[in-house]
Amino acid sequence: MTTVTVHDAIIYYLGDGFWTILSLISILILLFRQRPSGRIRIILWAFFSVIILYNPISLKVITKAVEPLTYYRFFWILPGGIIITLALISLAYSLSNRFLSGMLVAAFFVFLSQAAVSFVSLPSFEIPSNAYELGNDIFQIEEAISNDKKTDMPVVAMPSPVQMEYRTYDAAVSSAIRKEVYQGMVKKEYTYTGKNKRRKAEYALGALLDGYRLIDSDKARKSLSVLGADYAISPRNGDIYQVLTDAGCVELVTTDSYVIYTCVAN
Amino acid sequence: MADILIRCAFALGILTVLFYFFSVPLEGIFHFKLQYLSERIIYGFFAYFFVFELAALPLIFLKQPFSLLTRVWTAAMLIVVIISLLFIFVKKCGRIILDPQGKPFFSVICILLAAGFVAALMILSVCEKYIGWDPSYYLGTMNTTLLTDTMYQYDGSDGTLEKTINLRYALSAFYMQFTVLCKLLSIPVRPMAWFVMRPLCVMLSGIGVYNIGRTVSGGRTYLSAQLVLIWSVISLFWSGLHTTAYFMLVRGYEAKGYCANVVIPMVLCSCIALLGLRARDEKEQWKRLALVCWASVPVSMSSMAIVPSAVLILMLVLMLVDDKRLSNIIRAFVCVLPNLLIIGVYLLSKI
Repeated sequence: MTTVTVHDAIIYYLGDGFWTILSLISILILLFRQRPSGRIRIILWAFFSVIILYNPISLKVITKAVEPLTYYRFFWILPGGIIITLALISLAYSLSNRFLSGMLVAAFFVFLSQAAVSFVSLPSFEIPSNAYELGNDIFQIEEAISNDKKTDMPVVAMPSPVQMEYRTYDAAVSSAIRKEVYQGMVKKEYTYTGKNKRRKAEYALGALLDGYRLIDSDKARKSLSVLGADYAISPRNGDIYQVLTDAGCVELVTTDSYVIYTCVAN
Repeated sequence: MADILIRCAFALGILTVLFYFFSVPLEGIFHFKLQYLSERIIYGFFAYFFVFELAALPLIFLKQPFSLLTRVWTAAMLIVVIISLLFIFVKKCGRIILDPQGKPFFSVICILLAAGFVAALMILSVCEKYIGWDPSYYLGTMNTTLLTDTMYQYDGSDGTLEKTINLRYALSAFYMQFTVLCKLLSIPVRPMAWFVMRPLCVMLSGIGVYNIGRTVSGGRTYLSAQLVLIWSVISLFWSGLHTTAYFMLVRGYEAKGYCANVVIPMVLCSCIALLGLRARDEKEQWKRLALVCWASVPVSMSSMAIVPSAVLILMLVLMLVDDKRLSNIIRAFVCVLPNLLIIGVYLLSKI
């Protein structure tokens, strides 16, 4: 039988639920450590929180009036980290025996270290190699386009990882494919069935550049033309390279991970 | 790289000093009772963003050039600093009490440890490489602003000209404030986000938690510092896409990060005090709550509905446990009035 650590249990079985449970236990600890008047106030606060925010009706109202994805932010009103800490300190100081208090705090730290042997909350932790926290590719792409561009704001068709980073470094380009298209692809909507020509071209080209789906070179040429792309950037992939060069794109520069093309189709 | 990092460290330092200067008129004009450095920095931060919003919003909606906002804000900062200096030297405002309350030696040790842990979190946050579509849009907006000398007239993520100003983003001048700093201190946008905005969020979160500690412990310094200490460890290990810790360490350069970790905890700080768990001065706490609420949207649009919800819950609880029902309703209403107006404008724009 495979050994399961506390860390595994939390991450794989409980996930965030573990912290939710710990927060709730902490609220109960704080509740019982209060005087009766304080307890009433905490209970009333919880009661009105449920009535006003944490119920299905409020969920519907908030998601309709504001935005569907913002409802989770209302849970920030319950700052779990602070509540857990307050409960821990309260519990530690309530123990008359100093040794026991110390043990409680030490046990908590050991538990935490088991709970997350790596920096779970820092998914892409890395010592910065440059002040921009950017990989070499973006610098190379920027240099190639800056040296070659004929207009102030060239239109560039980029794969999503490049698009996410590029304009945060250099805003002097316009993206041919809107972020909504790439966000849609994350939701597995690789194709667009509507009548909007521009949107259709964005989906076709986005799917190609992100490697979701190969398209024929005619479609790629039309898409680049509809979007008015001056440049295209693709990962170093033989199939995508073939499609784009057949569509009339000419290789400009190759970086560590990407190929940059000038688009003669436009 | 070293040159940019030095400028970023200078920006962090200058912002902290400016927050102090912005806290002085709160004391001199509005009679806030701010004594401790932690209180001055955090409430100065809210005053700073509130005043910036007043300067920026008209210019954004009149489609004035960004360089004009930079000049206006430079002048405004100078005026506030001069007024603060006058208050400091003439009225003897702006004093900072450094004496730790309760167990002085132990308190100093705890404060140093807590500060060390928060500093470690700040450094760790700098090393986080996360970028998503949201921050890409925000940083793209800042970059576009610097490039085109316009505000919210271009889409931040793709650089196309917007038909109308997008109120979802333009009603809060948070990003324009840091763009002004980019321009004044010649710091590129990405280093500003990584080395100034995110560590600042961590620092202000720590200060906010320290203030909560002071409120619940009746001002005992060592307890407040212990709260910060353990909270910083928990924050490091608390995974999950929507937790406040994640929004501090990973997405701390977004306004949302400030909403989750600075604005809402400070609203709760005032709520805890007002609920009488450790209330000292009711009028003072209402004033503090009002300042945080009024500055909540300037700091983050996410606060638009969350902060009024928290204040509404507070008001309902106070109505049941406190005798001053009418005055509490009026005070709560005054606190959330700007947010309600902004919600109204925002919803009208969606129709």
